[in-house]
Amino acid sequence: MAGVPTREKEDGFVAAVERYDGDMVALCFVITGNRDLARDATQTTWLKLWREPPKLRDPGKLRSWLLAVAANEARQLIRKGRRVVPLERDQASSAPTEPSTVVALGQALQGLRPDERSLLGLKYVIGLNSTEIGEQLNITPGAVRLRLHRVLGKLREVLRDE
Amino acid sequence: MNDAPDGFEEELGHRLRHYVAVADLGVGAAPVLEHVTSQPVERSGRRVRPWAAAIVVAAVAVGGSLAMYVSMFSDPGSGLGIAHATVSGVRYDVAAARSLQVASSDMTRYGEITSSDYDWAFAEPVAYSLRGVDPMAALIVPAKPDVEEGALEYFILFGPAEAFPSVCQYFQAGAPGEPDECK
Repeated sequence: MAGVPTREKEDGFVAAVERYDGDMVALCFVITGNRDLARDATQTTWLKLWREPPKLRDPGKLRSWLLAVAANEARQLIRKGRRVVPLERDQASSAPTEPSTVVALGQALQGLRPDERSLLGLKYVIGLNSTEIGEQLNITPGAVRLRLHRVLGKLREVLRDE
Repeated sequence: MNDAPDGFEEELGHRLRHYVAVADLGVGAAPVLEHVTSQPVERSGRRVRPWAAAIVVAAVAVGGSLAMYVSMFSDPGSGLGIAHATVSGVRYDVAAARSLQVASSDMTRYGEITSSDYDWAFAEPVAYSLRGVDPMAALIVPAKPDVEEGALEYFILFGPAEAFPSVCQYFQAGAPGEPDECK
């Protein structure tokens, strides 16, 4: 299948990584709020692609497939997050070195559900429109806009007092 | 409602992209490829040689810095993905456990570690269960004596069952490495 890397198409795989890895790990970071989990979710997705390439009718849908799988992996890692976050990690210790706006946004995101963070990531980091997000989530563009409206309302409330 | 962003959305988008940018998440294609090509094929019996370990080794080789080696090694989950170990066919997540206090009488040999990213840091490829802790929740593995100049005695392996609070009895209260779940 054209466009999907296989073991015989190492160059194609590398090209896909170079093209999509940044978006995938960024989305996973918005969902998890954790570099390690984001990297792990992304890496698991690449491994899945390598081992069992999806049978996509349209090779152009590879990006969508990768983002969907990575987001799902990220949400799964969150569900078992207490076990995967290393014991020595001191989440608070790195905060003072980061701009306060970054810290505040990170805290605000943690107040949202993973699927809400995924929605924000797809919209504002990856830059998908409502139709594209709807295809990702298997919902209508109108439903996407409604969900975004609700999530934005929550964030407005939380970030209002900065 | 439409896709046209208002002022708040524009600012949010900018902040989200900045939030991601400062996280410095990229690793490049080479480590990713190294990882997927080094994973064991089910029927081949190839030894596990995940990308995380490869990158640590590369960092040591390139940097020649013991400090970098110790820094990266001391936190198996940092930067390059979560470390794993397989015991009796069950996959566990590996974490450093510096404040763990275990007496030999609390430990029972549980099983051989058949594969791990961090086998080279384990004193032996054997995991031990802890008295009062479900082996499917957590196991421990003694670290090699020279790891972090002896400062790190154990790795803890978190399995599919819930490890907390049963494992908390082995962590020193108030110590820097005490898990949040035990506080």
